[in-house]
Amino acid sequence: MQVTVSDFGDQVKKVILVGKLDIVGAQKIELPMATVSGSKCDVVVDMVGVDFIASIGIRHLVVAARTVARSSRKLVLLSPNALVTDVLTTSGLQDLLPIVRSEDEARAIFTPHGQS
Amino acid sequence: MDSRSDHGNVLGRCLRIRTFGVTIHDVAAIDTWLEEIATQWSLNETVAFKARVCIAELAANVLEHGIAKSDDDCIVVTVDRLEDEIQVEFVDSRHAFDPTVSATTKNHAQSNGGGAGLVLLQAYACDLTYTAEANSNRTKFKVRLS
Repeated sequence: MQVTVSDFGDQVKKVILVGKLDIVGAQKIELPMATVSGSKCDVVVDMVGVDFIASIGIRHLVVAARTVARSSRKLVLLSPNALVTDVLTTSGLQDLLPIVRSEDEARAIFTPHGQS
Repeated sequence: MDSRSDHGNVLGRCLRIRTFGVTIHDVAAIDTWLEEIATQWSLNETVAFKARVCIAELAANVLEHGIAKSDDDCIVVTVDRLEDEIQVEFVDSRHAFDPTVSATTKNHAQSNGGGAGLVLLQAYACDLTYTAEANSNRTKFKVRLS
């Protein structure tokens, strides 16, 4: 699992995950996700490169989403593949971990009403 | 502990058996082995993925919830390809943990995702059974090819 963190506009962080979000991958994302989610920014997690996910990996995303929400911010998942999407929806976590299909869609979610 | 045994085709059937230890790296090794099998058998991507998820959840349960009995604790995975399904047998030597107990999305959605593993297992596995034996836990399930 490779983890890359960058800025994604004002007060938004982008986390790019590539690889398996299995038990080993979950260990690798734990600290970066905790750091990003504690930064009081909105977070977009780019899931395009994630080719496997298990509940132990989902757990860190859920913890991060709850942390971000405590700062009245949002965390969204960007374009997980069909199989990963099925895992997330089957888990019943689509409300807590909303999925967007483009960066523009993510920006629209993060942008408060009345701003562009 | 690394994988310790592997058997190829048995009596003309596509059957694979391998024994693993109970560490994070063993659990990761199980998935790598399953990917190899999926490639060798040219398995449907969705079927292979669902089988991998189910086995990953069982292995994670053993690692996280199965109280260790000895340094020689192990996981034995058997994967059998039949005409229209994959049959999996998952045996571990740790204390009993029944993965067939009821799981709901509501419960874990309110927590930090705990319980999602059982939800996934029960959603993706068909004919899921569990037997607590004298020195092991035996879980069986199928994933349909169609």
